[in-house]
Amino acid sequence: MMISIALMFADNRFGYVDGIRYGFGFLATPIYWLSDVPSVVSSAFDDSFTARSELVEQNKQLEQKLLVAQHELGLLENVAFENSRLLELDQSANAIFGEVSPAEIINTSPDPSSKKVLINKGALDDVVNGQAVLDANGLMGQIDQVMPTTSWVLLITDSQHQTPVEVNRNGERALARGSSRGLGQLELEFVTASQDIRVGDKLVSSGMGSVYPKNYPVGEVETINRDPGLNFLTVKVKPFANLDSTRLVLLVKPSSRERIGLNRTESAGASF
Amino acid sequence: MKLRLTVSPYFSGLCVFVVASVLAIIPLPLWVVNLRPEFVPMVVIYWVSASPSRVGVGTAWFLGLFLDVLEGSVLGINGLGLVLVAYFASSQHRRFRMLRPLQQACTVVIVIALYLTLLQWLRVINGESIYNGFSYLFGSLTSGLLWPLFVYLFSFTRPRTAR
Repeated sequence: MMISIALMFADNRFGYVDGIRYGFGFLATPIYWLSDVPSVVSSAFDDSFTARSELVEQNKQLEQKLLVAQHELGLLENVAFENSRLLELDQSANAIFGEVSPAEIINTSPDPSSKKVLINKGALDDVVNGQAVLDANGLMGQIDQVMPTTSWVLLITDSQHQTPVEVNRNGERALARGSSRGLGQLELEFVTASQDIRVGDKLVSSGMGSVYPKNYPVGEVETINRDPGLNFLTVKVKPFANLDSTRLVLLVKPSSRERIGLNRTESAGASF
Repeated sequence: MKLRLTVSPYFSGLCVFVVASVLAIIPLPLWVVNLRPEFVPMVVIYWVSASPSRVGVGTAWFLGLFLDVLEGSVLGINGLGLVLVAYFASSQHRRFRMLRPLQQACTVVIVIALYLTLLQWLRVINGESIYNGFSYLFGSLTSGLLWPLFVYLFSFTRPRTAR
């Protein structure tokens, strides 16, 4: 028995056991469904017992938000047009923003120090390993394990996860790693004192490693600590995405070109 | 004559396991996450000590594998932990059944604390989790507190003749 377990560990490192996981995934589906019942019921209660005045108020706020969003969209269209012309010159492939499809978060990892969430889309909905997951405000993470009807998403704040980012203002590149203390923060790795990164800088995904789409917001630089004893600066980043509270997320469908190189070990955005 | 349930023990066992695994992964607010009792190891301890001929180390290993898939963790971690729990329960089942409820609860606390420690080590070795204190051990205390209630509830799932 111990030998078989040791074998499982060895296998796991090289990913030979995905088939077993997939098979058990079928059995796991009803249990996920059952464990989601309380939150479904509570949100159904919320829906049916909201006062009319609250709804009117909410509607007004949403209309205002829509107006602002439309305005910004108009501005963006111009920029995107200009950008695409420039990129054509550059022959860049990374600017392709794949199609998105909605999904719902139905569970989180029971281990509080590993940042993973479970979504209600799986292999039967054409989810593949390595797909990027976004919410309305920013980047959330990538698909880590695919099961038949569900899949686990590794969040960008997990200590195993690195996101290739660049500073919106000047294109300075860096790697954002999940905080090693599990605080729901990101830390920029290997930032030298000569790099131009300031508090309040907005970070976007750089599209390197072809896991994440280019130019999607990731987070904002919160603090920078210059410790003369260390080689690199300690830069803390607060993610834009509501990693703890959101329920609806978007899955980015990889275009055929981006699907190449989504291997866990090859992509820069993957964990190792 | 009292009403007698004529459910097969395998069916009731399956129901118990489904309930335990739902409780093991049901989302909880962050401040109680570490207090979550370890339901599946408790079920394993109970089953193995109650009927060691029917439930053994192999069953525990499969349950652990299933739990790994549910939790999305590295395959085999819970399997290994539950195998050790089941081994303890089967080798000590006579002694365990003789203990008074309070003593049983204390034993459960110790066994589950060891189980959680092993799991935490394995997770850190696999880079899946990170070391942050001993807060993960609270789960064993709550398991011990719930043990008497657990045994009481379990007595309904077993055939009357076995008691």
